[in-house]
Amino acid sequence: MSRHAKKFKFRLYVAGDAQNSAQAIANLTALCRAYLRDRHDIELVNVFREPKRALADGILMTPTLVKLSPSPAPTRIVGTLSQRQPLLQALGLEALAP
Amino acid sequence: MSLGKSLAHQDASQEVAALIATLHETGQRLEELTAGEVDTVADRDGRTFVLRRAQEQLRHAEEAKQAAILNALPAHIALLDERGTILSVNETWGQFVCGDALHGQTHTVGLNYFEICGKAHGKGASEARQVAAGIRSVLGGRNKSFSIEYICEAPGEQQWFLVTVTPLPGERPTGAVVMHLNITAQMRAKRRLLESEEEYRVLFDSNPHPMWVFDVETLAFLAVNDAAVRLYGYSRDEFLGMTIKEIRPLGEVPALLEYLQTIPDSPSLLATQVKHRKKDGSLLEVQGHTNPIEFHGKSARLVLAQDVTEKKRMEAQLLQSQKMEAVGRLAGGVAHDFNNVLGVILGYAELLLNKVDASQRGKLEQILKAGQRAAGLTQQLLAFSRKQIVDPKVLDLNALLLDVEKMLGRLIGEDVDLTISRGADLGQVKADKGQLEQVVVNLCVNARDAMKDGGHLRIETANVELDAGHVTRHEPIAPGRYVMLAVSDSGCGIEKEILNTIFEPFFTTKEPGKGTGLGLAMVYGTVKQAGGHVWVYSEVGQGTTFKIYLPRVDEPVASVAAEDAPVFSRGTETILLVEDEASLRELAHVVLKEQGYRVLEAPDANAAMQIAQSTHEVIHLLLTDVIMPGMNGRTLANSLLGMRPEIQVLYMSGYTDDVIAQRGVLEPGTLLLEKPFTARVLLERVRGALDKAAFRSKPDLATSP
Repeated sequence: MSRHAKKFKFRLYVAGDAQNSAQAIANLTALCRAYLRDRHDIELVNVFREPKRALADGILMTPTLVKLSPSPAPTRIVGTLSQRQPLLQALGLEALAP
Repeated sequence: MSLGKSLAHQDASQEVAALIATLHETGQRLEELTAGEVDTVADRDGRTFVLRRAQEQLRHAEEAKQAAILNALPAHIALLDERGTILSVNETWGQFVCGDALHGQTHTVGLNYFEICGKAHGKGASEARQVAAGIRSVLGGRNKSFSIEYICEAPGEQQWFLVTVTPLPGERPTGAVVMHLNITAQMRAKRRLLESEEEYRVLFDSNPHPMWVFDVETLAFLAVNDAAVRLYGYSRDEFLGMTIKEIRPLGEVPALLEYLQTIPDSPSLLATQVKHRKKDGSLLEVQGHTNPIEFHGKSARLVLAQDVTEKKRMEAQLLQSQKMEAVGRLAGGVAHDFNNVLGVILGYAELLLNKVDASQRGKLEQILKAGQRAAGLTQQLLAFSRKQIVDPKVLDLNALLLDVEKMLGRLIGEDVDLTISRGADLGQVKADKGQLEQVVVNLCVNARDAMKDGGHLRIETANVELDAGHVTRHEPIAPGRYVMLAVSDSGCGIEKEILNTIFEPFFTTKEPGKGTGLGLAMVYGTVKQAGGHVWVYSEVGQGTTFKIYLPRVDEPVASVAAEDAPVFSRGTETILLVEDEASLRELAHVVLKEQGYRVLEAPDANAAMQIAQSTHEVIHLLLTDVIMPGMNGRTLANSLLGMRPEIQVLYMSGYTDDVIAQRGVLEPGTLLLEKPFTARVLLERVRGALDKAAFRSKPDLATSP
């Protein structure tokens, strides 16, 4: 498992308990549990609580997922993260797909 | 805001309509662009727009949370506006049923709460009005909050509620939250606690022994029970203002403080014996048990104080009577031997009296006088030790007083007024007349000595009935009918400290040479021997009263036989003399022989029996000691009478013991010569006994008139 040893760091910008945000949290958590067990890190940022941080990070919509590592350039994905296949592709995890 | 005025303007309202339309279109377009997957959008300046669906969904989520919280509360909650109209209620409100008054499922949103309260009737109506007034005061800003507890007669059972009214935030209350909380469980628990506290308080208060709790630091009483209040005489409030130092005699306070330092803090039961002072100043003997406790958060001691005053008094009394008994035994033993010695001295001195020339007689008479005084003392000692031979007869105390009255007058002198009050229909008592006279004389002499400057001496007799109550208050004495003899004086009195010792032999308060210390000892012994009781009451400076209680007997007074004129003559009869004390035997032998008697002498009963068996000579008289080693005089007499029924018997004794008579009493009619005796008395009694025998042997004479 050494080639998968790299840790995935995600940051998810959400709008409190709003439905799409809640769905995004659920989908991301499920995905990590399925493919990235014990090698992921999810940070949640509530834009209602930290509006300035979202602005500073250039986040214009919620929910927005940012993949901070391992790829050199951060990847941004907007939406509920419901479609598993395109999501894996966007995150560079297509090799893990069945 | 001037929105109200702008709205009135036609142009403004058209513009508002246009903006709303734009807003609607904008929202729709944003939903399309974000494919319904986004909750918020923002521009580069940070202006955030919550999309409409998210807006609604967030609002509903928030409302649901608040409702869930309100519905989860076990209280009945309603939100009122400033006029008292119910704006909103929680789910529990609908289940609120309370008798005739206040609420119910029908009292829901839209109704005016003041009207509901106003319509309340029956039980709880007055509480409803109080609640209404409370809400008004909160809505009017006069009170920050309002609460009241009330009883609700719910169907089936009584319930307790707490209603609270809290204003909505704002400068002026725009409404209020009314909450009814069911506090029945808490109230019941509180009542159970109170009941349980009451139970324990009863256990403390009703304890028959005094109990209290005191603070270890300040020594103040923190609690006292009823028994303590009763026994010590302080009220509960007085107690609670005192420290434990104040119930101790002053002299014991330092010891108390020292003792308190040594009490361990660990739970233990310690018993101590101390003195406590009552409010009236009298002292109590107390046995205290102490236990460390915490009381109202303070380190304290629980004390159980057992009053052992009465117990101690009884112990002292028992000790005293045991002491008297022991002293009596000792005195009796000494007196017996002393009597024999005195007998020899007196006897020989008397024998010599007629044989010395006149110039020496005075000296011999002094010896005799001193000897007789010593004999008098031994008689008193024997009376005290109850070993003296007594001759109890039924007699009338009033008659006895008549006999001694003249002598008393001489004894007490002119400075003392003597009053004798003889009780009417006085019952008889059974006692030795001579001894009882001596008792009266002794008491009167003491009374006289207590009244150096004169005073009143009162002698009184009366029939009394002692009941059980009297009997328990004083020394042990059987309840029943008694004849009382009281001797009261107005003299100096007897101090409390020595009241217990006055009956002891050789105890005297008189100057050396004035008193023997045997007078009251004799009184005590004589009265006890007669089955009676002496009670003394004395007040220093006021006087003393001795009361003697003798058991009343119903037998008639014994007729006093006229005493024979002293016969002092010689004789020629044969006398068998039995006495173990050699010097006394020798004395009697010499005296009798000088007067012409024939004397056969034996040191004990066995020797006497041998003499009687070996001689055919007629023996007229057996003169024998009562107590001797081996066979006693009584048994000897019985054996001899079996062989020679004609023998007359004359006993000699200083005292008797149980062998001869259970209570130191010889059978009535027995001839007895008390030791010590003088030659004259010996000869008189021997002659008398022989003459009585001669009289008895001639029955024809005895029956003739």
